[in-house]
Amino acid sequence: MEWRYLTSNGVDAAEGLAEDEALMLSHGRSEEHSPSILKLYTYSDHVALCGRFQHIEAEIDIDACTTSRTPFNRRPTGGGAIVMGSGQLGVAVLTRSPAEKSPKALLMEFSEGILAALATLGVEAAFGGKNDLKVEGKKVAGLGLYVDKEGALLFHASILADLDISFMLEVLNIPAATLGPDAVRAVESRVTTVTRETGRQWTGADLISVVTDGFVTTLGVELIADKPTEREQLAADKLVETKYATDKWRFMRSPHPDATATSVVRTPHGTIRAYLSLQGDIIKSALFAGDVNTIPEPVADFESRLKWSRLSEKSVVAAAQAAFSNGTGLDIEPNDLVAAILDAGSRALGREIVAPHRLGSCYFPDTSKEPVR
Amino acid sequence: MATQNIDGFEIRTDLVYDVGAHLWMNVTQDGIISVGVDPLGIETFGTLAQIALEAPPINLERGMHFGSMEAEKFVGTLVSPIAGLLTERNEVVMADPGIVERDPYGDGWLIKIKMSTDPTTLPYLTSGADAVIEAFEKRVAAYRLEGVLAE
Repeated sequence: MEWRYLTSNGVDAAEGLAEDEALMLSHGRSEEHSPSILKLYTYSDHVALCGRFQHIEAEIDIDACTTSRTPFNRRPTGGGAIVMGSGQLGVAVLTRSPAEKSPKALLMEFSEGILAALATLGVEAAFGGKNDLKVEGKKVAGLGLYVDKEGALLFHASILADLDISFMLEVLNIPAATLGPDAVRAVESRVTTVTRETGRQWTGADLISVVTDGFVTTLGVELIADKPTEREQLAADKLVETKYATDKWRFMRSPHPDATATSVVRTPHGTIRAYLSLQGDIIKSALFAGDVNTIPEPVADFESRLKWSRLSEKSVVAAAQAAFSNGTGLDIEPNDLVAAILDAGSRALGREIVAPHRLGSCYFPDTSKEPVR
Repeated sequence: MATQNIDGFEIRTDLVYDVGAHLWMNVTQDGIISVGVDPLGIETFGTLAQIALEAPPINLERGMHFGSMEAEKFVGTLVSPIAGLLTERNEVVMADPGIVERDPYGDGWLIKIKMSTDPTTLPYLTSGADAVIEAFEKRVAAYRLEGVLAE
């Protein structure tokens, strides 16, 4: 089977996003069958992209972007805010959405090419978290899936060949950015790169041939080098003008408000703080950081399981049960960390999430603004 | 209301389904059909973060967009399983998508469509308890094979 194959480097935020969407055109239900497309590309240094339904001001520091001349925009795919540039390889697969396959099955299927590519570099990654590829619990690639009105599918991945963590902390409003000198360490304990895993410097462009081979091997397809058709290019140009370069798209609002809050947990090793970010009652991110050199893997796993969960006693306890089967690694009970999340969540939402007695003796909410346990 | 537990999923067997799209249809009164997401769809989509529904009235064709959603696993379009006039949308689920997860067959309905054809007569939809059970058993088995359902 033949697929169209497109590559480019240093693309602009609006142009790159518009081209992805324009390439979906030929895969809608009302179109004649067209070959699927694999597109591998890098953005110019740097761009900041939030997820489809996020509030961009909550996720991206607009002032910092303006100062550093970093374009910011909104992806059609979901998930959290990311920084893209020469250090990250963008992967797009465009095809007609198969009716019989679930979104997770499609994410897993199209991830196989990336996993195979990483494996050839000695990087053993696996599908993990909500929509990530991970190496020993650390994110090395983020995945997204978008199906449009016509049933055309866009699978998108960003592979971290390398990452300028300090820059990311400067332009993204992620909880770790508030940790001062510990911020880089906090990110490094949760995110990795191909450069770090292989001990050799990689750029996104360096990965193109490796990832190409990975897709050819796993999908059994023949890639035919191509470029956007005239129709696709015209559509992309129009999408830049009418959508991706407009403030209406970039600053689109969701009906679900953002909220953040923290709480503090005392452990025998020192004090750690839980940072919780919500959109509506969905947990965007949960992060524990403080007086411990490295956050234990079960705690990082707990954070990962909480992401995209609904903030409720049931879901937080379920995440804890799955993550802490062998303890927390902090010499405290799982309930302490559950209670910390629910405490922070209660303040973020401005209401109690669970009756105080429900979690037993570990849960005694303090009425002060930021209780210490 | 007739339900059947199919490998962990409580499926109403008295409704009409577009099994592939994970949408159920219920004829609520003369020609008015409510449409919602079935429990298996909710499981495979993941947590529903956002639901946007088109404002009525709209003449829908089968396969036509009537809304969009962001779920844990994807951002996607909701397409109509039948042709008819969109008469009502559920404003409550737009404000609180969690209702769809908590009460998919009840308060979690999405839209209402006025239709002149009985949906049970449409060949691309599934109705009748035996056919519904068989269709969901096949779909659950396929998803388990794909590894997309928790064991």
